[in-house]
Amino acid sequence: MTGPADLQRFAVKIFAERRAPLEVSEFIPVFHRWIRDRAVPGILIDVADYGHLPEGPGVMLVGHEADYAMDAMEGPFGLLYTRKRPSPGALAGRLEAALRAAQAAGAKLEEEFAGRLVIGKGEALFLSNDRLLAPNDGAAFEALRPALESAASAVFGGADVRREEGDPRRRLAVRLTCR
Amino acid sequence: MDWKKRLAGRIPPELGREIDIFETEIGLRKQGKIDEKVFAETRLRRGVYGQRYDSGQRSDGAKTQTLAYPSGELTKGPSTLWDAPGMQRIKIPYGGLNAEQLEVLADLAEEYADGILHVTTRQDIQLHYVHIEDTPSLFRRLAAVGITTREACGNTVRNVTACPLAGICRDETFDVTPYAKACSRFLLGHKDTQNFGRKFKVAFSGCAEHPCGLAMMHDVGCVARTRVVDGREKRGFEFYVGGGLGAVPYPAKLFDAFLPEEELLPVAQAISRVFARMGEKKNRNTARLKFLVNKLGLDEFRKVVLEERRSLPADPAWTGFLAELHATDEKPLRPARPANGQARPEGFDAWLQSNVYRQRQPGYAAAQATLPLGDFTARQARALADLCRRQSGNPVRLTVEQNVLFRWVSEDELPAFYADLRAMGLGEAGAGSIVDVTACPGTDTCKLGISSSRGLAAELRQRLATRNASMDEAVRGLKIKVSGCFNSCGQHHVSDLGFYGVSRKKGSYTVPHFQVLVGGKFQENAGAYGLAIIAIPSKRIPEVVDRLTLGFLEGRAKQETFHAWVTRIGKAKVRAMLEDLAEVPPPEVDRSFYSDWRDPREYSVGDMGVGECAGEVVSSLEFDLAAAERETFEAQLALEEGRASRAAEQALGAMLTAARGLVATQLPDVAGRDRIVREFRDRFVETRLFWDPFAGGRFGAFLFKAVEAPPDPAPDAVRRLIEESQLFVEAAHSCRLRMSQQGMRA
Repeated sequence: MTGPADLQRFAVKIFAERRAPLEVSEFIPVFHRWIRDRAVPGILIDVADYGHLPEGPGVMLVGHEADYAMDAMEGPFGLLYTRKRPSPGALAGRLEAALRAAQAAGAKLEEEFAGRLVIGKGEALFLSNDRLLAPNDGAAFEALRPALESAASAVFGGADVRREEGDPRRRLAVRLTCR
Repeated sequence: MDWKKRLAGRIPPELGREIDIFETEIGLRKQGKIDEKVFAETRLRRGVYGQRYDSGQRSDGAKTQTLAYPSGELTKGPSTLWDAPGMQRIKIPYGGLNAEQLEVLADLAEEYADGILHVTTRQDIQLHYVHIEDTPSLFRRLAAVGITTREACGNTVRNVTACPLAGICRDETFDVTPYAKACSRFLLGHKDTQNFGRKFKVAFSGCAEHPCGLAMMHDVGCVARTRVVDGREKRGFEFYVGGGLGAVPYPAKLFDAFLPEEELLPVAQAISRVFARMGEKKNRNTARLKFLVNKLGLDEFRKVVLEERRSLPADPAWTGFLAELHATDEKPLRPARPANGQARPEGFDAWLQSNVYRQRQPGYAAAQATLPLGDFTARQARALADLCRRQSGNPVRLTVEQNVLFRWVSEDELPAFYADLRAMGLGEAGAGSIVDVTACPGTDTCKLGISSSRGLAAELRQRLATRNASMDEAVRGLKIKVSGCFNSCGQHHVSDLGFYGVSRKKGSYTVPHFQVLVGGKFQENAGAYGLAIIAIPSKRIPEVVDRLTLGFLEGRAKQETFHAWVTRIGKAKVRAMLEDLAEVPPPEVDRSFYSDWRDPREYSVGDMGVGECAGEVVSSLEFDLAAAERETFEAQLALEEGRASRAAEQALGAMLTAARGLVATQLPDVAGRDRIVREFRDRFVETRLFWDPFAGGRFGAFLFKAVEAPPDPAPDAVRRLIEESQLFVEAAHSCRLRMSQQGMRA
């Protein structure tokens, strides 16, 4: 592994809006059911409840390849999809697959909480989860930009890609906004 | 590029070598060139634990599903699949963490775990859902900031803990920090600590009266003392050995009323050698130091240790640290200024009262960030690191009550400090109070968890927090501690209200319960251990808390503590207050009892269904188990009344009742003590029906031991016998459950 193009650990977040009261604890039975029904791809292991932490990862569906969390820690409330284990193909393809996985899970959640939860369709947040391969600096962002643009174009049909400035200790964060 | 290259030159060579070796061992295990048992102990000694569902099986509430990991049958230990996520324990000696270390821990939590850092009841940090192949990088990044995970688990010297107020405490005899640090360094990787049969825990306390170090519940507990010798004050320790919680708790025994400071490390080394040589190795259930001290007797143990001490070749490390005693002294960033009319943010006064401690050094205070259930996020960890740099520049201390303590905050800066904590979501009042419930991981992530300790703790915390402001001071000061099983990682024995997870059958269902313990004491360095009085369904534990706190408020004499109130009214009355709560409503009346807190799955193995009979059929075994529980409780009462011999008889009687009940499922007319014991051994122990996945045959052995020798009437021994009897009866309940699952008559 040599640089950002080899990145395997990353997360994408799609934002969510509560249209009616919706407690984070309501995601617990849903995620347990998803495990039982194998409702999303991959090996699904357990549900972790961090609802006691304000601005935390909320309720998390822990998987082997990826985690799904109703997260309030990274940016606004939303569905955070975190890739953990390596997947094949070029980075742009891996990013696109992650965005599509998040969107598919988001659509399922919209169905689960019909009328109460709306998942944003035209925006996402990318997070590098590997400070060795893609640290939070301009060079890593520029190295990742082509893959991010390609993935965002494939999913959103064209998107602006903008690095989020802030605490340099945090993960490299890039906002993808549908044009 | 990898972390090894990136951090070259920043990792101490010895640590680097160890990590390289471990990385090689990972490779060899993947090729099948290391036995899984050997590899398991290897990884445990580096803090790499298994986690719930790592056998690849998980009940979804209806059936058991297989987790088909890509590495297939490859294991990292017996019944522990390679790809299954695990827990990483990270030792933090005396709980001391600097800002840079906090930042690295935050990065690791994000990149290798679930973004959460968990503070344990022994001042460690734990990360969950870690893949074993990520551990070498994780270790290197820790090593680069001076942290090792070496010997965080396994049969080793675990994290050396100490009072978080050490150095600033108003009551301490002296600062124990440099001694804890020296002890931790000296014993880490020492050749004499590598061959233990079981783990070994050391704690330091600055004073005897206050609880922060919990010295009495450790294998080795050191309480700071001074003595005047030849007109000069000399430092040393009131030195205790053989304490420990676990399933059957033992209070530590006084080895030496004054062990001079220069003898601390050589005596610790001598104890290690004796423990390694004479401690139990085959049966892990009797392998802790407490069993060896008990077996030999304190006097003989002391004699053997002191002989060993005399035979040791001198080591400069024994006393080398004494020349650097002040190296760990902390200095404030700014001169202290008194509080002087600064604006007090909303909530500040309550927080000040519960979370702030006035230091020995005038004008300075120590303030706690309250971590709900001991958890904080990576983002909060960075914010805490910033606060650490800005406010004091000194390390923070993790506490055994799962919070973070900042020291050296000038009193005039407390309002701003509080506002900063609030901004990061860690400014809740109530640290160390009844609201600040301590809990082990329990069924959330622990393989041994029986009930959801964190689920219960979160529920209690939420309910109590809403009443915190209006709560009577006497109730607010109580401690609640919860463990998911009998192993006591939540330290349930040393709280006013303790709970540990058990299960009970109700028809064809299994219902999560908690045993309720009263009579424990956090004060006086864990001065008394509570005993279980009754098992109550999990969902009714909040009512238990309400009733007992109300009963205490209404019934206590002036200034009486909860411990004193329980002692005065007696456990029979306390139990009577709760007995109706033990009832489990049928599932058609209230299904919520059949799942645990914060987990909607039906609490049972998936292949069990609703019974076919129209009415409830209570088996004779159920009656026998209920009788056995009653007998253990009566034994407690007898002990409380000073009738130790009677208590011992009843404790043994309870085990025999439970054993007879089990045997009678196969041999209805069994009678006579010897016959019951023989049949029980043949039919239940030898067949491993009466067999705990964690403790093996230990609980059965409690009965065999008790019938072989006349009971020791000493109160301590009888107390232990009662504990053993309770565990035996619990094991009989588990056995009954297993029998049901196997389609046997139960």
